[in-house]
Amino acid sequence: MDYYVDTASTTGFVNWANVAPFEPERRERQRSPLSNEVFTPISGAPNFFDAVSGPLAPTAKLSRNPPKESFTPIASEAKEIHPQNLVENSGGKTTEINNLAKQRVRLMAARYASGVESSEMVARLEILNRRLLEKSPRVSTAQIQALEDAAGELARARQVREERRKRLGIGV
Amino acid sequence: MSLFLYPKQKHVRKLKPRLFKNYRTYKRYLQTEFFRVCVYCRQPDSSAPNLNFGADHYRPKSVPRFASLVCSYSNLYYCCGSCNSRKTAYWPFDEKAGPYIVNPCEHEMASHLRFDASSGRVEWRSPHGKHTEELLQLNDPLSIQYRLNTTIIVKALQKEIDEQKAEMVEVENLYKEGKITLVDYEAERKIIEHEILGFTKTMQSQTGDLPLPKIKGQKLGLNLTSP
Repeated sequence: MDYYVDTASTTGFVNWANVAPFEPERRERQRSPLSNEVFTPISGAPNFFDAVSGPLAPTAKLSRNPPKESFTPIASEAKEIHPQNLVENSGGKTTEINNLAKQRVRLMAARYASGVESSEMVARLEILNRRLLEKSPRVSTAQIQALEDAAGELARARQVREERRKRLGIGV
Repeated sequence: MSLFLYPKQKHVRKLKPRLFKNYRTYKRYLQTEFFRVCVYCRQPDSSAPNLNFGADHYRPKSVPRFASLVCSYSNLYYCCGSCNSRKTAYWPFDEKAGPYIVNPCEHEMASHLRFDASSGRVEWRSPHGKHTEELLQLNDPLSIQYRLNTTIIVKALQKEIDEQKAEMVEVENLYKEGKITLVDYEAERKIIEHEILGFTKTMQSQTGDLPLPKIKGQKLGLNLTSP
């Protein structure tokens, strides 16, 4: 019976056993991205930022403007996008008013804390006051309209009353 | 007539609603609690349709240590949109020193702020009152003019109601004296009553005296007020 005799040297066996077959070679491991030397151009380390593929490629940055699709979005996609835009647009004025009000509060607090009223502070406060009243007036047009309507009703009722007095001879 | 007048005594809350998840649910209770006027500027919510009134967190909910008071009824006040947007998340850094925005439950409002009916201005009587007036812009020219006009209109409405009532008596006397027929009397009486009702409603809406529907004690079998 013939036997197969392995004649390969067993001297390096221990060394190979310490290295897992899937592990990169030691030299390459020494050049790992965690090592500081990769950041020094003198070391000749690969520039990871130029790599566009593979495990060393950097994560691509998300573009702020989503790519324009050549196809028309379906209804569900449209619903996802449009309400957000609408909320941003409608809340614009409110946000502006809130910002103005916050700036005013901060300025007033600073004035109170310092105890000194500088001319610059007064001027800035005056500007904010005016802008806030322009953007968010304390009296609405509906309130003014309500008063005007009441005045109109009063004038009409007085006229009716005068006519009645003449017709019935009251106070003659 | 208490139009724009600040209360002389501290307000003691009468309603005790149960704890709600959403603080906006308290708006209905606050409206009744504070007689449908903004606690800061004394503007009635009925003076015009669709006025933006809501619940104001006196101790701002955005300040971390007051976050637990988001739905606390005692921290909520009935407030107009103008005052609420100007107040923002104001809270004095030094609580002892202030200055505070005065509120009807913790301060005697009249000792800090006073409405002058002749000028239409809100005059301050204390540093807290001054701060409140300044922060909420209570004396902007349009507000002053509006308060003056409202006062004039309300007085004119009251005068017209009184004159209509006097005229009703005179028409009745004419009927009793036989100078007008029953049909004429009834027709005139209906017209005058209709006028009086309309002007009373307009005046109440301007002064904030328009009655509110009663708050329900229960809804779907749940108690809405705490014992």
